[in-house]
Amino acid sequence: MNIFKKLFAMLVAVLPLAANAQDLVDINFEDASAYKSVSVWDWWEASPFRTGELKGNCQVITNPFAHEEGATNVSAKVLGFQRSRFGSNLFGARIELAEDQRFELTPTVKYVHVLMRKPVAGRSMVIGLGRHNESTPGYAEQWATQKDDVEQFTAIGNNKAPADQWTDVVFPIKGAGNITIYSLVIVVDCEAPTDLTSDFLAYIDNVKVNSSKKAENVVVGDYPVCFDSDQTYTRSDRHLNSLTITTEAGTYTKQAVGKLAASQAFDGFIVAKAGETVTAKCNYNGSWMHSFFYLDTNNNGKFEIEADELVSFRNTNANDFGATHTFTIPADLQPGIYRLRGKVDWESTDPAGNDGSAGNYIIDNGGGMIDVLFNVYAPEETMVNVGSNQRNGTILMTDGSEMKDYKHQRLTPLTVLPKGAEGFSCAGLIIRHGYNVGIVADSLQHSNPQYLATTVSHTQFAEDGTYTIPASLIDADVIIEGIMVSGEVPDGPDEPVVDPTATFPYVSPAPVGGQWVKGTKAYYIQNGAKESAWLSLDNALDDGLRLDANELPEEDPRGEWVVCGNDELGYSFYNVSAGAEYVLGLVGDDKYARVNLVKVGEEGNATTRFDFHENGDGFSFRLHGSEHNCLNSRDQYLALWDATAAFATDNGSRFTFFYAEDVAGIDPTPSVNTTDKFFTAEQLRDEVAKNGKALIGILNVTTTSNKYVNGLNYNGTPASSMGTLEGVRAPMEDEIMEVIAVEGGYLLRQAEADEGEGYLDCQGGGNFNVVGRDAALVWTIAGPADESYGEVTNFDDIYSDIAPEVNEHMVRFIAHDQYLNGQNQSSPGGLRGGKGAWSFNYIYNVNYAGGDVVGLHTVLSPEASDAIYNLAGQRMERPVKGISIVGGRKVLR
Amino acid sequence: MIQQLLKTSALLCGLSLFALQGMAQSTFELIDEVPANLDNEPAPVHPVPHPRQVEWMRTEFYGFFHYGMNTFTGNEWGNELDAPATTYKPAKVPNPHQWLEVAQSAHMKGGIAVVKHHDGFCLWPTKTTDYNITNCGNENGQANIPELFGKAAQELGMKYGFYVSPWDAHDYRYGSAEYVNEVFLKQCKELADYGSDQFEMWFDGANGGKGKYGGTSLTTREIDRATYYDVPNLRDLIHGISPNCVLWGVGGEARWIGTEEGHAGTTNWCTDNREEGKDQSNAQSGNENGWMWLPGESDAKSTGGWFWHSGETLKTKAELFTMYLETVGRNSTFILNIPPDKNGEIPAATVKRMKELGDLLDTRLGNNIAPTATVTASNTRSAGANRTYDVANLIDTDIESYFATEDGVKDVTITFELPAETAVHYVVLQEHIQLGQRVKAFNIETSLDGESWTKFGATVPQTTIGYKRIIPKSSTTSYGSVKAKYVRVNITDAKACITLDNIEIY
Repeated sequence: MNIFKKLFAMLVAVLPLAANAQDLVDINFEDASAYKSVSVWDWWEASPFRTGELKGNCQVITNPFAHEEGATNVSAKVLGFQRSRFGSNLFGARIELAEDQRFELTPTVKYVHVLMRKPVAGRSMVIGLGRHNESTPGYAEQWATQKDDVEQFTAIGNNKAPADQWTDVVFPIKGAGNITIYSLVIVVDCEAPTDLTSDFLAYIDNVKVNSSKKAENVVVGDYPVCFDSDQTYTRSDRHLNSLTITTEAGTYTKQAVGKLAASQAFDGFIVAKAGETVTAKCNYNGSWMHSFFYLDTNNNGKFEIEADELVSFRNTNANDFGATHTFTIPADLQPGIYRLRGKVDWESTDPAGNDGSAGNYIIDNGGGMIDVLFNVYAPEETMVNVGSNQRNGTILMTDGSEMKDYKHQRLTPLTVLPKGAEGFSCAGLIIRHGYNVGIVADSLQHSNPQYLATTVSHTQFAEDGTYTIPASLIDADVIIEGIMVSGEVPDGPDEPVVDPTATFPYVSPAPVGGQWVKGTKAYYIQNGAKESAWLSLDNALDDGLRLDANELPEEDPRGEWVVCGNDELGYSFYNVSAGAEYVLGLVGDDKYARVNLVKVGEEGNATTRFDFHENGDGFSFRLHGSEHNCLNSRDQYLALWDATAAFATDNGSRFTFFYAEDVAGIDPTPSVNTTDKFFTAEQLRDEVAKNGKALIGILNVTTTSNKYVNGLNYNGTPASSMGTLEGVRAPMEDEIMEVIAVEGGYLLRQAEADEGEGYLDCQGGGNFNVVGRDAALVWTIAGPADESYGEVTNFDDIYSDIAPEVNEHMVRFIAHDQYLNGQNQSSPGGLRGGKGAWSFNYIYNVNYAGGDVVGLHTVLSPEASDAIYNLAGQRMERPVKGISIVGGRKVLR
Repeated sequence: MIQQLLKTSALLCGLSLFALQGMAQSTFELIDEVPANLDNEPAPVHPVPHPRQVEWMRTEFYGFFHYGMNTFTGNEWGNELDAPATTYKPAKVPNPHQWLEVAQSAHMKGGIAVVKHHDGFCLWPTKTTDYNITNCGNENGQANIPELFGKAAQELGMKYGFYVSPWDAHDYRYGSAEYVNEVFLKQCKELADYGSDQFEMWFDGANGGKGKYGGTSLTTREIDRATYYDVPNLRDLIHGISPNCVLWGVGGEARWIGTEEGHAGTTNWCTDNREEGKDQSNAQSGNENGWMWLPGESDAKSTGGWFWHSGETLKTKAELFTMYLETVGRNSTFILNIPPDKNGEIPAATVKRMKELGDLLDTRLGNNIAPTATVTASNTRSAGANRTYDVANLIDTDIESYFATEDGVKDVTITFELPAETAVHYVVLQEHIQLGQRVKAFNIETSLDGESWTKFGATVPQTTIGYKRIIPKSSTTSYGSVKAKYVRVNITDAKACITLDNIEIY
């Protein structure tokens, strides 16, 4: 970025910001209109500041720092606060809000921003005081006499202010709703004052409440970088892909996160002993760059060169980016979690990166950095503490004894026996492992998580009910929590629960890929217009479904119906005989339109969703989104009726359900291959056969270039160093392809394309084209063992640098006797008759769990959602076998 | 680089503002303000407990009475069953007085009665729902449990409180704000109105999930525990009626110890970082640097389940005594479940077992010999105008007196010279928690001659003390002893000067 543009951005940041139209509170102390009073306040009820023995010192003052060199807050006035050593740890400055600044506390998270400056680093807190407002149900009875200084929330800051720096500390807040906040108490320092020998002065400014989670001012926080934290790399030919680090415990490959120039690869700890020598390497695409490794040995949130924290660097040769580094963990390093940064840059030892002030800005040069976490332990500490937190059950040793004060050999597997209490069973385990006195301290210290967590489904338990925790998770103290549920967990794969927002009592899980899934139930549907008016395809005519007098279509799939959906989006009707690819839809937009089956994805402008309402012992169904158009029997056709009431309650609008059968369905939780990083042709075919499709990256690997198919060509960004599979990065979103089985072969499709689009085809002349389904080419997938693989030319010359054992992973895609080919990098790839290097591909498995540990970890966060979904996007009650999405992240079971 | 840019930009900003405002000096200075402290009391180590939390910890050991619809359906949660009200049909009038008598025989100082579990059936004539005892169609079932329980506790001089499940699998309103305002909060208030002297209200951590919620089929409803139950205002509501009532669990004034097996961590801090509505992740240990006083309570079962089940087996008195040592003896309170049966009474076998436990407590922890000893300390705090901090305070009966060291003295040795050689089984230590929890490490030694010393409880980690720590000679599962003429307690590390309420020797 042009340095002057950056300067401009900084100018905007440091000037007092104009009130944001979204700010609920905006207090800058320049005038007194936004607040009624300021004072001190203490949570401790026996505080001398509550009894009146001490007065406290809190007032609006002239900003003493406005004119200091390098001032970052130049506003005229700020709030001064004397942090007394005689107050509690929750002693702070109370700002009583002016009436127009009082805001409502709701279940939706908001953020309090406080610009503060204090001479000590550490945590801060905001406490909200207020009361219920008149909108609260039952207000008169319960809340009318409530005082307006009731504690409504306590929030620790998302970030910590370093000493002597203006920092916008952000506090997330939420509550039940109908609560008005009257005062904010800013506790600039919520650490215990036990060791305070004297008071100190702190300063507060720019207090805001809004929906922005991001700190507003320029903050030099933990482990800074010289660009925005969400900066992505700007060059397609140069990029840091991963780090490879080897310790005695193993070799770890830590991937960059997407296209971020600065990544945090915190999906697992790198385990090492104090005093151990480790090797590290940057896997970089590009040339003429240097590499650097930093280790924060004093754990102060900074990489300090003067403290010898630049543990290794190579900056003399043009290709030093790929050098293997060796450094030693200090022998006296205390056990704990330490951050390591691997950086590729040019001629700058600054851990934040070359800022370009003398040219060679790191971003312009295609540099980047990846931060990882070291778990350092003392060599003599061969044992770790293992405990359990448990309700409604217990975690036992395999001999049935209790796990009390138990210690286990570090980095060795541990087998446990989860046991539900009477009436309960164990649906899974949450395994937390980490450091700092047995997971007693805060989960984040200087932004470094001190412990990680892995969730395991009961489907991973052995037949005898035990579970063996992998050695890689026994790398520090461990807490095991059993997920105990009432009753029995079902045998076999978990069934998806009905969408919690689906209250229709006869709803089934939605079909997946045009197929029923396990748990689908079919019903006979009777219309109330006539006693024997059953809904059945038997009566279907081209222009609609008749509701004639006929008998119950017992055991006749033409008369069996499946209802799927939820309250928010509405419900759809499927017919068992027609299959899951057809759904009831309104043909035409006439308010008396007739209903018939339409093909999913081809319904045109037909409406296929309905809302339900109770109607006697049955239900009425209203067109989703309309006010009074209900399904009805119209001239013995199933049709809409423009009712005048919001929901029709007449007989003709009544549909009563009778259970017919359980419909056989596929396992909705595909057991995808997560262990193989690269598929052979056979593995790819198997994956598609098992799950209906596979998600892959198609990577052409030669001695001159490794690139993924990216849309129309092989012109994507480099995936790894040339001519090798080592350190290959995963495909980016636009490089992910779907392989779908069809009659006669397979379709290749861009995964991120719209439904029905993105299929790979070839134009005349053989170049790729991305088309709709009907025009898509049908491919053959062939490996070296397949007859269709065809001839190979110049094989040895091309692949002499690649280990022979990886050759079995070479795959060709064939259509019309020609090969998917990436020749001519500057133009779209396509079908070619050539049989040279460009026709060979390696297939990256997108579901590969990756890394050195089995499984991906979820970093605990107070705000992380616990929602669990399978890969089909269905909400789960508990994690499933294979990959689940937990709190928005992929987790392996 | 960022700092360089800031300097440059600030210079530009500063120049422009200077022109507008002119120079100004800060006049904000420290003011010298010191409280009087005529009694020379040690400064608190924050966070410190609220007085109600101190009283709550002094309760130490109390009963848990799971009784209700599940007693008659055989369920533990009952959320999926939604039994009709008529299923509740006690064969006799339930007898909470007997429940508390049984608890008292085990030396429990109070009890918590379950009056609404996840099934939603209320054991009092609540105005909030028809799903209560008035519609059970059974005369015995009309007994108003919270009313009877509260009265019985007052008669027996015991503490009492109620368990009311936030999660209600029966009520159709569950999941909406209407449930919280029109049902849950009102139920809590009705229960608080049964006595302003309640000591605890229990809010289960199990929330949301499968239920019929007024319908005919099972669905799942989930809520955000951090906000749904409006806990800050729940606390305000209850404290306005019952000021000494500690709201446990979801209520945010005491934490679940993290296990239902009847033990706390040997290192157990009463402080933690509370997150509204959530179970604490460091539950058995607390957090040494936690910002709030959030002491732990250990809940455990005396039988196989929470509710009574036919043919259930009782824990042995030895098991129960071990639980006592590993909970009350590890700075946690201990709530032991004693489920009444379908008669609304504690079964005879349980009555007998609780008496046995009480007798065992009498035998092993009933005769404190520390007051017979001559006590000395390596450091004693100077007296104040109205208060002394002598070692005599460790063995007196005044619960407000305490021993303390001088400021900055974080280690001390306190020696007890017994009148004669005695078999010592347990040593009990208690900090003066009103001023916060301080001790990080200690050890205990015994001697016959005052010169050569042997570690006492050598295999028992001796780190934190808190409200109470009971150190056994050998372990919590054996009744070992050592002959001793001298017992000395060495506090070796603390956050600040040391304050101790009490030392007992058994």
